Amino acid sequence: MTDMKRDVVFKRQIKYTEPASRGVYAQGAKYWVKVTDEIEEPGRGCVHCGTCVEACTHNLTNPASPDGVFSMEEVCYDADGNRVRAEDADKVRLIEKILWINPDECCNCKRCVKMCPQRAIKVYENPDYHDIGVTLTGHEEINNILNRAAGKSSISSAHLGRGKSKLYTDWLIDAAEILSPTRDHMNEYAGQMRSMTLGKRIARFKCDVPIMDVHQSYGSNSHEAVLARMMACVKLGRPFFTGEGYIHPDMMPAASHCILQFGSGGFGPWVELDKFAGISMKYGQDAKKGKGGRLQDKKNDYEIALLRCVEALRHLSSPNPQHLQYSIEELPMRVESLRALLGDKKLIGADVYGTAWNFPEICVAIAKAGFDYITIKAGDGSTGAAHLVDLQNRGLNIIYLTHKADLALRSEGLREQISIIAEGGVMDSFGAMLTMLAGADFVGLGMRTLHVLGCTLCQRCHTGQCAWGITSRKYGHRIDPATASDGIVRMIKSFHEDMEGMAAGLGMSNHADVIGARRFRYHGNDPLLFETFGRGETPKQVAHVDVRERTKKIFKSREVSYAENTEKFEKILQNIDGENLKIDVGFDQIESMQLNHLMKEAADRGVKKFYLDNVMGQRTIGTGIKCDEITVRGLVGNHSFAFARDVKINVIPNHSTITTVPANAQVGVANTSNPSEINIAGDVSDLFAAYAISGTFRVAKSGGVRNLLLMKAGLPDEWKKTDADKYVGADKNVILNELVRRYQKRKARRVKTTWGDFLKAFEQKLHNRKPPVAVYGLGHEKGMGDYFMEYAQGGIGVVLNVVNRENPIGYYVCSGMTAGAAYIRGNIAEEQLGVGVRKIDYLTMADTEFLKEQIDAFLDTFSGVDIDPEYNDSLKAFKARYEAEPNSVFGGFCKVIPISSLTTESNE
Amino acid sequence: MIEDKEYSASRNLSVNDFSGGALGLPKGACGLLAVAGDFKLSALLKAARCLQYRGRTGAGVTLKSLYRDTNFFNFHIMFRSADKIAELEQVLITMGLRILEKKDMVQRKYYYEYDLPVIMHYSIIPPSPEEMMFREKIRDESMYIKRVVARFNRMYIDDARIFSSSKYNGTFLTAFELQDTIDIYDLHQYEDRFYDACLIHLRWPTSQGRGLWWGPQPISLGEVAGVHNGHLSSDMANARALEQLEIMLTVGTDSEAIFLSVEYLLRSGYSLEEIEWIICRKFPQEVKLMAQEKQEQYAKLMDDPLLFRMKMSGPATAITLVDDVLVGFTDRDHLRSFSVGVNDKIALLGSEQRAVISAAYFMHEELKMFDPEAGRIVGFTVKNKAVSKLDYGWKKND
Ligand code: SF4
Ligand code: SF4
Ligand code: SF4
Repeated sequence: MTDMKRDVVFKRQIKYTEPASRGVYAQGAKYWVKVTDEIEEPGRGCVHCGTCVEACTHNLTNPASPDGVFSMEEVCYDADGNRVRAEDADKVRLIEKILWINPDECCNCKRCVKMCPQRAIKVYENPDYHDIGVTLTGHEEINNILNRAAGKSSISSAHLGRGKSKLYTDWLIDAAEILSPTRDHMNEYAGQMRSMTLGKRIARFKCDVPIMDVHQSYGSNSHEAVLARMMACVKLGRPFFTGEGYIHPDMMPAASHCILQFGSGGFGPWVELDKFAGISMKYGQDAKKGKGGRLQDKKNDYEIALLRCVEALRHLSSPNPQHLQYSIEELPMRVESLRALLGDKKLIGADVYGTAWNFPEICVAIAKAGFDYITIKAGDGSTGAAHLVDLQNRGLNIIYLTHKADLALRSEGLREQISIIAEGGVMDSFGAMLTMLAGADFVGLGMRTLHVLGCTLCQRCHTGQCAWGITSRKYGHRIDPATASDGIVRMIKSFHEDMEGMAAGLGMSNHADVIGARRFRYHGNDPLLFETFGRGETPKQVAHVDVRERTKKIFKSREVSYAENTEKFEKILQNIDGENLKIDVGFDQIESMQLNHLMKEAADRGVKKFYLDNVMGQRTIGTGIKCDEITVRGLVGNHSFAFARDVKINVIPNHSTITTVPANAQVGVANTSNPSEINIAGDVSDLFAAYAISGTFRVAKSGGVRNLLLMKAGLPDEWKKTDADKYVGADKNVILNELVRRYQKRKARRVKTTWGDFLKAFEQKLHNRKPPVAVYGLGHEKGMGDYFMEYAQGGIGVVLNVVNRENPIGYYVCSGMTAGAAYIRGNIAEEQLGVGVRKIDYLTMADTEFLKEQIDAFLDTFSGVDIDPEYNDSLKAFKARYEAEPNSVFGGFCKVIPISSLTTESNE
Repeated sequence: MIEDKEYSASRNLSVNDFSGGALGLPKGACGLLAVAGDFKLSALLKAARCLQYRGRTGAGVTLKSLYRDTNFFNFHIMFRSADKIAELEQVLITMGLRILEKKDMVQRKYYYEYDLPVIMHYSIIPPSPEEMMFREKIRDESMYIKRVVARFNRMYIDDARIFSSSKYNGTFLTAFELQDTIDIYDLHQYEDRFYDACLIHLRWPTSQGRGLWWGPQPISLGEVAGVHNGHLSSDMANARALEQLEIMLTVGTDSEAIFLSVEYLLRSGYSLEEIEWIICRKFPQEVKLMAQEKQEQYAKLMDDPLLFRMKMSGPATAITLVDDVLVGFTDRDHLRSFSVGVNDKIALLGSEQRAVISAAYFMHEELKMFDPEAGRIVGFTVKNKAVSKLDYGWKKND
C-alpha cells in the first residue's frame, strides 16, 4: 500500500462550468468568481481544501440544488492515462482534483472570500453583465425586461431603496460654540441618552439606549440570528421586537423583554401574553408599501409551523390589510381589546410607514386611539423581501416624516402621551442623531445589526440560502448567538457613544434636550428637505395647540375604573357565590371596559364561572379574563372573547323584555382565540373566529363575511406548558444564561443530525395538535357571507345549512386557503369558489364520521335553546331528518380544500 | 416666532377649525343610526349613545318632516364669525331668496360653554317661478334652492355653512359629541312635534382639528340627507362621475358623493336593484350566475361610462334620505357592518346591531332583525309615519 501511495500523483485544476444556455436570455454571471492558483499568486494560491464548497450555499437558477457556486471533483487515471474508478485503488496513478466554479450562480455574498484560508477567491462585478445599455436604459432596465420576458421572479430582498440614503451628505448638526458652551460627555454629566422609557402613559419599558433593533420575524431570520439579536437587546437594555413570526418556546425566558408583533397574518399561539412586554400592531411595512407578505412553503418548515400554529410546508399569506381594523375609528377598538387583554402596564404599539400626504393625521389618530408608541417606517430602507417594483416606490425621508409626526402630535397636545420610534434609511450614529433631533424618542437600526452577523447585502434573503446563516435556517449554526450578540452590543454602544458626544457638543445634558431640538440644517439639493430644513430655524412652538384630545381619555385604567365605581362594583361583587357570579348588565347600565374590569376584579377574587345577564352589545367581553365558563344572555359586542383561552362560552337569547335581544355576536368576536368551546345561539357578524388557533366554535345561525379568516391549525403542546412563569422579573443574567443553555441543548441535537432529520423531529408534534373546528347552522335571515375561511392555514369549517337554503354561502369561498377544509351542505357553483381551492362532491368514511360527531354535538348544544320560532322549527325538522336518514344529510355536503394540499418538500 | 395669522381678531372660530382652510376636511369613519316610521325621538337618541365610542368630534341629527307645517324653506346656517352675518345675508338676498324671519337656534349660554359658530334659523322664500326661470332656468323651487345653497356653500366655505335647507326636514350639527348636540339645540323640545324619520351620525375624524364644522353629518342639501362611515378609495372616481353630470359637491367628501349619486340615480328612475348594481357593483363571478336577461340589463348599465365610475370601493355603510325614500347599503366587500330591524311601525337601520336593538329596546318594540348581505341595498318609504319596505324593482317616479 505504502509503495503504491508514493506512486500516485496529485494534480490540481480550477475549471469553470460551461454556461447552461446561450442566446439573449442567457444573461450570464452577474459576478465573476475568480480563484487564483499558486502560479498566479505564490503562497496565496488555492490548495483545494474544499472550504468554499461548503461555504457557498447559493444557487440562483436552482435553489433546491445541493451545490452552490463551487463543487469539487476527483478524477482518477491509471498509468496509461485512462480514467479509472476511485475504488480501483491499485490502478490509480494520477488524481486530478478539480475545483469547479459556476459563476452564474453567484450573488456576491462574499462568504467564500472570507472563509478561504488562502484568500484565493476574488468576487467582483462581471462587466459582461453590467456594461450594457446607455445611461438612460442601463443593465438594470434591460435585465429587468429580459427577466420578465423569461418569466423569472421579480422578488428581491433586503433592499435599501433605490439610490443612496439622503442622510449621508449635506446635513450639518450644530455645535454650541461661543453662544453657549459645548459640554464634556466623557467627564461630566452631559449628552447622556440613558434611562429613557418607551411609552409615556402607564405602560412603559425602561431603555438604556436610544437605538432600537427592528421587527424581523423568526422564520425570515434563522433561530440563531433571532437569538443573537434578542440577547443583544437584553444585554443593551432595550425591548426586542419579534416581527410577525412570534418567538421560539426556547426563548420564552426573555419574554418580558419582547414585544410581539401582530402582523396581518396573526401568526402564533397567542398564549402566555401576560409574560411579554407588549404587542405591536403592524399596519404597514417599508419594504412593500400597502402590501402584506408571503412566506414561501419551503421556508414554512415543521418547526416554523409549530411556532406559527399553521400547517407546515404551505405558503403563508399575510394579507395586505389588518382585517380587524379597516379604518381609523376602529383603532381605538383594537387598543381597547389589547388593553383588556394585556392590562394597563403593557405596551401597545403601532408600526406604520410614512404615507404620501396624510401621515400627520395617521400619527394623531394613533395617539388618540391610545397606542403607547408609534414606529415610523420611512420606506427608505427595510430588510424585508419585496418585488422589484417596490424598490422604485421610494419612501419619504425619515427626518422629514419624524418632523411631521412630531409637529402634528404637538399641535394636538399629544406629543408627551406617545413615544416615537423612527426607522428606515438610518445608516449610523449621525443619521440616528439627526432623527432624534427631528423629534424621535428612539431610532431603529435594522440592516446594521445584520452586518454584525455577516450580511453583505447580497439581497437573497427570500431564497433561504443565506450563506451567513442569517436568513437561512439550515445554516443558522454558522452564527454563534452569544458571541454575535456581543458584537451587536459593541456596535450599538459605539454609535451610542458618538451620539452622546454630539449631544454634548450641542451643550445638552441629556436626551430630553435632544429630542425634537432640530439643531441641524440641511444644505443639500433635495427640494423637500431644503424647504423644510434649509430655510431657517424651526419655530420653538407650534402655532396652536389643542389639548382637548388629551383630556378625553377613552380608556380608563382598571384602577381608575374601580375607584370611580367602587360602590357599584362592590355591590355586584357581593353576589359572588363560591366560584360563581351573576352580573346583571342592565342593557346599558355597565359600559364595555367597566364590565371587563369588573370581571377581572371578580376573577381575582376566585370567580371561575360568570353569568352575564341583559347584555346589549358590550364589547371585549371575556378578553383577558382567566376563568372556566362565561354565559352571556343577549347580544355580544365587537371583539368580545378575543384571545380567550381554555374557557367555555355560551351565548343565549334574551326573551325577558318586549324586545328580544338575540344571541348574536358583532364584528371580530372570538378573534385570535383558544377557547375550549364557544356556542352562539344566534348569528355572528364579520370576522368571527378570525385567526382562531384552537377550540370548538358553534354558531346556531349564519356568519357575516370573512368568518374564520386565517384560521390556524391548532395549539401545540409546547405552548400549553411553558415555564415562562419562572422568569418573570428574573435578573438579566439569569435570562441570558438560560437562553444560552437552551441553545446549547438545541445545537447538540442539531449537529448530531442533518437539518432535514432535525426538523423531522417536530413533525409528530404537529400531528398531535387538534385543529380548531367551527360549525354553523345557518339561519333564515341570511346565508354564510363571502370570503369564508379566507387564507385559512388549518382548521375546519362546517356549514350544516339546517334551514336548507338553496344557496348556503357567498363568494370567494376559502379564497387563498392553504390548509384546512370546509364542509358545506347545499349547492355551490364553481364560480363561488375562491382562488386556489377545489370542491369535492363526495365524502370519505372519515369525513362522514367527523361530520357525525360535529352534528351530534351541534344538535346537543342548540336543540334545547329557544332561539326564535322559525329557527326552532327548522332545527327540529333537520334533527328529525338527520336521525331518520343520516345519509340524506351527509349526501348533501361538499368539501372544499386547497388545490394542492402538499405543495412542497421541506428546505431539504 | 409664532404664526397666528389664521386667527381672526374678534372672538371667532379659526378658518382651520371651521372649514379646514387650505388643509381641507378630515376624512371620517363613524357610527350611524336611522329610523323611519312612528317612533319616539328620545328613545332613539338614548340608543344612539352606544355608538359614541365611534365618534368624537361631530354629531348630528336630521329630523324628517319636522317643518312640514311651515310654508317656507328652513335654513340652518352656521357663521364662523358674527362679523360675517350681515354680509352673507346680503348674498342670500342677491341669490333671489327672501328672508322671512331669522332666529337664534342656540341659547346664549352655550356660546360661553363651547367654541361655537353662530348658528341661526332662517325662514326662506324662493323667488317666483318666473324669476327662478330668469335667474337659473329652473322652475322647481326645490331644485332652485339646492342650486343656490350648493353655490353659497362652495363660495363661502370658510365663513358659513348652510347645513339644512329643506322645506320639511331639519338637520342639527355640532363638532362635538351627541349629547352636546342634543343640549346645544335642545333637541328634546321637538319630542312631541311631528317627525317620521331620523338620521343620526357620530363622527370620528381621522385627523387633527381641521374643518371641524364641515365634517359633521348628516350632510343635507335640499331634500337629501345622508350619513356614511368609512373612507372610500373610489372617492376620486365617484366625484368625477358627478362632476361630468354637472353635480357639484359642496362639502366635498366621499360621503357627499354617495348621497348625491343615490339622489341622481333615484331621480333618474333607476330601480333599487340597478342602484345596487351601480354603487355596490357585483363580483364578476356573481354576474356570470345571473339570469341571461339580467346579465344583459347589467351589462347595459355598466356600458355607461358615468355609471361605471359610481362604484363605491372601500369601507362604507351609507344611509340616504331622498324625499320620502330611505335607502341603505354597504360596500360589496362589507368592510363595514350594517343591521336592519323592522316591524309594522318602524324600520331601523344602523351601523351595528347594538344600536338597532338598543333603539327597539328603548322604544319597547319587538323587531325582525337582520344584517343585509354584503352590498345589498335596502329601501323604505315613509309617509305620515307609515313605513313600508320597497322591493328590488321599485323605482321612484316623480
Ligand atoms: S477555500 Fe480557497 S483554498 Fe480552499 S478550495 Fe476554495 S479557493 Fe481553494
Ligand atoms: S460570493 Fe457567495 S455566492 Fe458567490 S461564490 Fe462566494 S459564497 Fe458563493
Ligand atoms: S441576510 Fe444573508 S441573504 Fe440576506 S442580504 Fe444579508 S447576506 Fe444576503
